[in-house]
This record gives sequence, C-alpha cells and structure tokens, in this order.
Amino acid sequence: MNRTLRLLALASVATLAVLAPASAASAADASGCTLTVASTSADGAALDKASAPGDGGTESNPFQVDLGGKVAYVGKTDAVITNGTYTVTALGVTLKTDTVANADKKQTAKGEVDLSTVQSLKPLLAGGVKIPVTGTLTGTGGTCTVSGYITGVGSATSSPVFYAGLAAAAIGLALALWTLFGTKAAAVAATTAGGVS
Amino acid sequence: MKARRHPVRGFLAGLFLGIGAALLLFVFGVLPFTLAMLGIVTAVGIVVGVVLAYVAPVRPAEPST
Repeated sequence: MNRTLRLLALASVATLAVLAPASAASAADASGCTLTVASTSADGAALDKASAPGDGGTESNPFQVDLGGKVAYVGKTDAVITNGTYTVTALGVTLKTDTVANADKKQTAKGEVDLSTVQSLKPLLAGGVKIPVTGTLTGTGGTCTVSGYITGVGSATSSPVFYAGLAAAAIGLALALWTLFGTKAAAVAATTAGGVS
Repeated sequence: MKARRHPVRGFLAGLFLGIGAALLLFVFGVLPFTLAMLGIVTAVGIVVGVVLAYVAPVRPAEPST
C-alpha cells in the first residue's frame, strides 16, 4: 500500500511539475506593430475588445469572438512594410493568408473581417476553450507578429469537444477498472498441485 | 505469489483517460487548447495508467481444472 501511495504521489507531483509552468504562460504580445480589435456577435452586438500589446487577448482573459459575427481591427506597423504576406494561424492550422502590396507605403490599416468566412475553428470554439492565435506580416521593410488567445461563445456542452472528451474519459475509466480488477495471481494448474477434489 | 499484470491495458486506459481529461480541461477553459498541452496531459495519463497496472492490488486466481 505504501508503495502504491508513493507511486501515486510521484505521478501527482510529476503532473503538477509539467502543467504548472505551462499554465502560467503568457499574455497577448506584439512585436513590430500594434493591433486593436473589437468583436461583434452574429446579431451585431458588441462582444469584446483587445489590444496587443495591452489589455485583453490573454490566456486569463481571452478575446471573445462569435464565428457568426465580425472583428474590426486597427493596426499600425513600426516601419513601412511593402510586398508583404500576412498569415493567421491557430493550432498549427493556417486560418487566413494573403499578400499585401502596400504601394501607398502606409503604416496603418483598419478594416473588418467577417468571421463567417473562417469556419475551420467552429467545432472547437465553444465554452471556455482558449485557443492561441498568431498573426504575422512579413515583407520588405520588416516583420510584424501579434499573438494572443481567443475564445468562443456558447456553453461547453454545445461543443463536440465536450462529448469527445466525455467518451474518451469513459472508455479510459472502463479500461482502468478492468486493469485494476483484472490483476490476479498467476493461476496454478490443479494437476501440478496434486489435484483438486 | 506471482501476479499477472496488464501494462498494455493500463497504457490504453491512460491514453484514453489522458485524451478525455485534456479535452474536458480545454472545453472548460482550465488549460489553453494547444497540441503541446494535449500531448503533455495524454503522456501523464499514459504514465498513470501504466503505473496503475503495476501497483494494482493482486486478487486471488481462480483455480484452473
């Protein structure tokens, strides 16, 4: 029993050691530029605001978006960037990429993105899910990188991820119980022991 | 007394429990949804599952005929 407790304690400490530094991570960040965003819901109501660098869009306070709504943005680069390419990625998946000629050599840009065109995250963005997102603009004159966290709208139970998690945990629990109660002493053949009447 | 243990079964239990726990932690916002976090939580689950297989109490065998 002591051995069991020791091993479980060791596993718990290892779990905390692995998770603690990662969960303490980071805030919305920007290098080479600044970005301010404001989201609206599908019915046009204001949802959330964030600035990088600045408030919002952090792991503890992620920027809330509705994939049926829009995001208005105002960005300013530290240097003039021409003939550039911008890419927005989340979970290693490119959500949007395009080229920016910037022939007028402007350092500011503003506009609105209709999120109904970005549906690849739809199954994931519900409940309290926090997804790290990175946007990069690279071209002649410099590079601008903005990173932060986004979250969705709706309850956790509206997400297929919730049901996938429940199903996996139920299968794991059943297997764990099978492991626990299936550990038996090696059977001894009755004939080798002189027989059982 | 020699015990018949099931590390592969423990591995699979930990794998599924780890993935399930990770997805539930993501959806309730406890952990950020990243592939690294999914891997870490799943790996911890696998370790716990295999450890469970090796420390599970031994039950008496059913006598064979």
